[in-house]
Amino acid sequence: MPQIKDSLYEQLNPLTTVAGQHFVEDFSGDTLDTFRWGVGYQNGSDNDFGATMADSVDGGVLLTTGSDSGGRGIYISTGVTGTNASPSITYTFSNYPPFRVFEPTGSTIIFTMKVNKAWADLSNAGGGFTQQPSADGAWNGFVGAVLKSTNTYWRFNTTNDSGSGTTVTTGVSNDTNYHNFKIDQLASSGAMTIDGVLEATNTGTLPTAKQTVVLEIMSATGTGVGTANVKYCEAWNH
Amino acid sequence: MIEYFTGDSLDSKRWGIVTATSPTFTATMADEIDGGLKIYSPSSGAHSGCVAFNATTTGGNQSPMDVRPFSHTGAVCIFVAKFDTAGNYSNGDGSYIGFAQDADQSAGGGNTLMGGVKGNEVTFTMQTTNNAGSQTRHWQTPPTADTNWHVWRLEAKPTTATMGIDGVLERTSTETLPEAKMGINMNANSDSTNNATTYVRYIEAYNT
Repeated sequence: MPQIKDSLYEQLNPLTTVAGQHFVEDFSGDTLDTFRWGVGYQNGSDNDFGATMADSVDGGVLLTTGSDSGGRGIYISTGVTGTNASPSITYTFSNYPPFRVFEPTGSTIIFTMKVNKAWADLSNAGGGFTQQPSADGAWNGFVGAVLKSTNTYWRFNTTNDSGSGTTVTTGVSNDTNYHNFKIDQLASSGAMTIDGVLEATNTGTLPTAKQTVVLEIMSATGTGVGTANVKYCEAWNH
Repeated sequence: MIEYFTGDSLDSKRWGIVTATSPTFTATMADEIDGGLKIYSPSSGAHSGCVAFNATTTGGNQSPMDVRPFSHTGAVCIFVAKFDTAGNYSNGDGSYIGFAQDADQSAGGGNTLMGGVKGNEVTFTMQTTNNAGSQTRHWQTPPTADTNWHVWRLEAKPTTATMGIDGVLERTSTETLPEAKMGINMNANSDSTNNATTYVRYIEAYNT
């Protein structure tokens, strides 16, 4: 029998436990909460891209890439300020985003996402924890779910602080349906569950520096507009 | 009300920063693991301030603050915070978080129930203030005011006010209890020689 308590805190933790950083995002409302999320764009020059609330059942936030032939990317991140449109914003190893509060050796992210574009027409799509939010997959310190044009299946990617990476391919293909992703970062391993099934674990090339959250999609060159919906995202430090 | 303090900036539709003219006081998101909101009161300049349910202003203390939805006879505030060394805060004030009528930079004003650190006191403090502005601060017993993260729970009832830390009831008062509706106030006031930083990464409040 579940206990009913007045406070949300006590639903999740006893008061004897000091909870870590935590947020819950429902992506419901008229605009993206830009106090929480910053928006970044990559590659190309037109203005078709956007991160807007979807006017559709279960729509959440709709991430839309541009349409020109240069290949387009869009991402949202809790670590980035503003809605940078042009020029593109790219964080390098020496230029980290300004707000990173998540612990690479003890944290979890859950997000519910669908990618509305054939995997073969994607440069990249997915989400997770990262030190350098971007849409092109050139992350340092990333642990999360990735879909790429080279494989129909979702992948579990981890990269260390220098960008060296390890990929584990799951058994879940991109069917353009919503999937629920859960990614756990522990002291010496990472794991990814999709729709409640453990799909991948990894102990190699793990990050050690603080991270932020990223959710993104990038179309492959010349494939036109791509979209992805995200209707829930929650992350916390253990 | 639930606030996670996770993102790129303080939600200015909920919170305002109240300071004096040309403030050196700041309240920004921390770029630190588990950092939340960083409330910084340097040793020099107009260094006291607060974050409250009030429009951002450099017009000094706002009495009352713009929005006060919480009941003085039945409300709870839970927050996760860490305070600086007590000696870094102003001797007469300090840094307090909780219910307050006013967006007051030094936890003054009327009708408060707040928890925090009083400058130079070695134990954590609970403060209550009634409608006339009479104030009681309870700091005479442990727990020690360390600089670690703790979870705090304040509760306003018709005839008592309580403060718990990490699940243990630490203070109960029947003196100078608040007598009118309140909002949320998080303030810091450093002393004249040391910088003081208070962090808050979660705050929740509700009427009972």
